[in-house]
Amino acid sequence: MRDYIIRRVLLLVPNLFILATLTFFLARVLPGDVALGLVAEDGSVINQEAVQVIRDRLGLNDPMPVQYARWMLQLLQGDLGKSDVSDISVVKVVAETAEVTFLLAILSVIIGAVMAIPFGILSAMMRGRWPDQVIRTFSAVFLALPNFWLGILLLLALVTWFSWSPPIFQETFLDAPVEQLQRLILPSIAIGTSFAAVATRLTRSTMLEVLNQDYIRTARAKGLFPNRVIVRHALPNAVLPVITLSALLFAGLLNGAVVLERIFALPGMGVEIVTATSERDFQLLQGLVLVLGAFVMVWMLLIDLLYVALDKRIQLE
Amino acid sequence: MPLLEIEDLKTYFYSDDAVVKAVDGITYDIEEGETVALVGESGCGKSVSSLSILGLIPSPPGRIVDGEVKFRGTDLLQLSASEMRRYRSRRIAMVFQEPMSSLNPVINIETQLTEGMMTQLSLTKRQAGDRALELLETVGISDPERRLKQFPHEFSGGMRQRVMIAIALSCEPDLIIADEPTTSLDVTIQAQILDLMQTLTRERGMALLLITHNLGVVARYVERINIMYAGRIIEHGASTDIFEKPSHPYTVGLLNSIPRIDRDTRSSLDPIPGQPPDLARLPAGCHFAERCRNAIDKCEREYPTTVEVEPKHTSACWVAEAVYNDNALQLSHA
Ligand SMILES: Nc1ncnc2c1ncn2[C@@H]1O[C@H](COP(=O)(O)OP(=O)(O)OP(=O)(O)O)[C@@H](O)[C@H]1O
Ligand SMILES: [Mg+2]
Repeated sequence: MRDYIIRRVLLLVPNLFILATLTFFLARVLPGDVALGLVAEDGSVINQEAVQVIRDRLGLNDPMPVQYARWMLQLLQGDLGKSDVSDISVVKVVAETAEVTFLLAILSVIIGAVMAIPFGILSAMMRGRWPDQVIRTFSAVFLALPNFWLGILLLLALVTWFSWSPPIFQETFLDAPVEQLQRLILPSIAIGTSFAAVATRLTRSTMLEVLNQDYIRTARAKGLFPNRVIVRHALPNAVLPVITLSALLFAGLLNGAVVLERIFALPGMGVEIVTATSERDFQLLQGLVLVLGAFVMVWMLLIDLLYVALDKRIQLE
Repeated sequence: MPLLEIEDLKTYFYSDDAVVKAVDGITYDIEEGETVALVGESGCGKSVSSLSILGLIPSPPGRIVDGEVKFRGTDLLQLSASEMRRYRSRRIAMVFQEPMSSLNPVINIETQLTEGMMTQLSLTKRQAGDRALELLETVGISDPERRLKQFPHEFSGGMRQRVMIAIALSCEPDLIIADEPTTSLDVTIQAQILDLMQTLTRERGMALLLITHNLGVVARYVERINIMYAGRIIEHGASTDIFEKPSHPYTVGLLNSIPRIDRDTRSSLDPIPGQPPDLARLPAGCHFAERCRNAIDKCEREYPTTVEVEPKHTSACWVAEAVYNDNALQLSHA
């Protein structure tokens, strides 16, 4: 087990290197660069000289391999550099925006799973009877609704009925955890609900499958209490696929929260990446994408390890 | 009073367009401490009938539609779910057909072995753990301390079946139902497991119901045999009587299809032709008529009544006497 973890962690190094390389070149696929934007902001007529000065300062005139080597060296020193546009360090931007994005993703997944697992189990246990019918109908409906639209509806409802206004984010989670969670709870419910729709169905079907297994019959034949049969014998086998789904969703949310961050006016990484892209702020863009990518990789590793811990059959190869 | 009396038990499976009569009125009993076999081809309803005893039929689609299962006089079919729970593994324990899938893959052997004792015998974790060690040793698993911490995938099929036997023994039941405990194991392991079960149940005075599709396998182990065909019991008798004087053409067929060294008159291997009937569309007459060599006209029309060909030896066949006499005659010539 320990060897396996070490090997997996070491494997992160080449993966991160590939990610950094991809990020660098993909950013440069975009036409144009930051200098054009900076100059256009200052004056109405594009001044070629000014553009060249900025390009020189940011090193954009150097050949691509030189720029690449410079960035890699910088990364090796653990430095993500500064924004080309605002001169603020990328680390600082990440620090300010990551929290919202992560909390949003985590809360959404937790809310989704907390709704889905009990409903899924109930649905499976009551197969064919009315609670099952109700749960299945609702999950089908919520599955059909796009989650950003659910977000908009929720937002409109709040604004019209509760005179709610988008929260202002000044404190961090550590300063004021309760307030921070309050600000994020509504968008999380919007995302979590549509996740719950998928996860409920998955829990139901895996649960039904597991309840048909021979080892459940063995557990019942032992005369165990029904609760123990469900919780101890069936559930651990039934939630494995749900964990995988949650993990993938979490990764997806980190990368895809832009829409909801926009709708709810949340200052997250998604919004920042969109801005950096449109401004051709290569340093900031590369930094943000790299950090997000790295988090997703570490996350997937953690999930794999959890899997191994839960299911002893998985061979550590 | 017998330990277990099964009286006209019927278990059907309902689907949209059909009723599968998996068990269609079977009657037999088991005395305290006795070893009895239930034998029949694959799909004849052996597992369904044994699962019905402990209320383990998946429902829906299955349902016990009629009959009684009396354990020391108490009809188990009338019990509430929580009363039934108390009988499981405490009074009647089961060893299942599929050792590879009958243990939970994500729970260690110790927990799977101790949880029943903790629930049914109110043992503490410590006490149950100590007993688990003894039990593993009893069923012939070496290094039990290390083995207890392991998971099912670390055990071979034969070893898992030993664990299942340990689980079945753990609450000191009065009856163990072993549903084809050796079908999926190597021939050498088969004999080991059956010997083990026989010794352990004898020592403890437990009754054993041995379910199998192989009449040859049970010969040495059981006192009485029930032969089952398409959801019904068609012949019943003491083990030696069934082997020497089979009185139902199906039993004769079963005996002819196993290699035997003790009798050579009909010794060439001779499987029964054809297939058992569809349990959702059973014929009006004898279920075996279509495949039967001795069938007469009546067999197609009317299900046979059960006759006693000799004391404690019954057969559900219109020509039972003739079949019996034929075999008894051969025996006296031998
Ligand atoms: N869950 C179920 N749903 C529908 N039909 C079932 C179900 N379980 C069993 N049956 C039917 O009941 C019949 C008897 O099955 P059973 O498992 O008792 O056979 P068996 O004698 O144990 O056979 P084998 O030797 O293969 O174990 C089968 O023909 C099958 O079609
Ligand atoms: Mg069976």
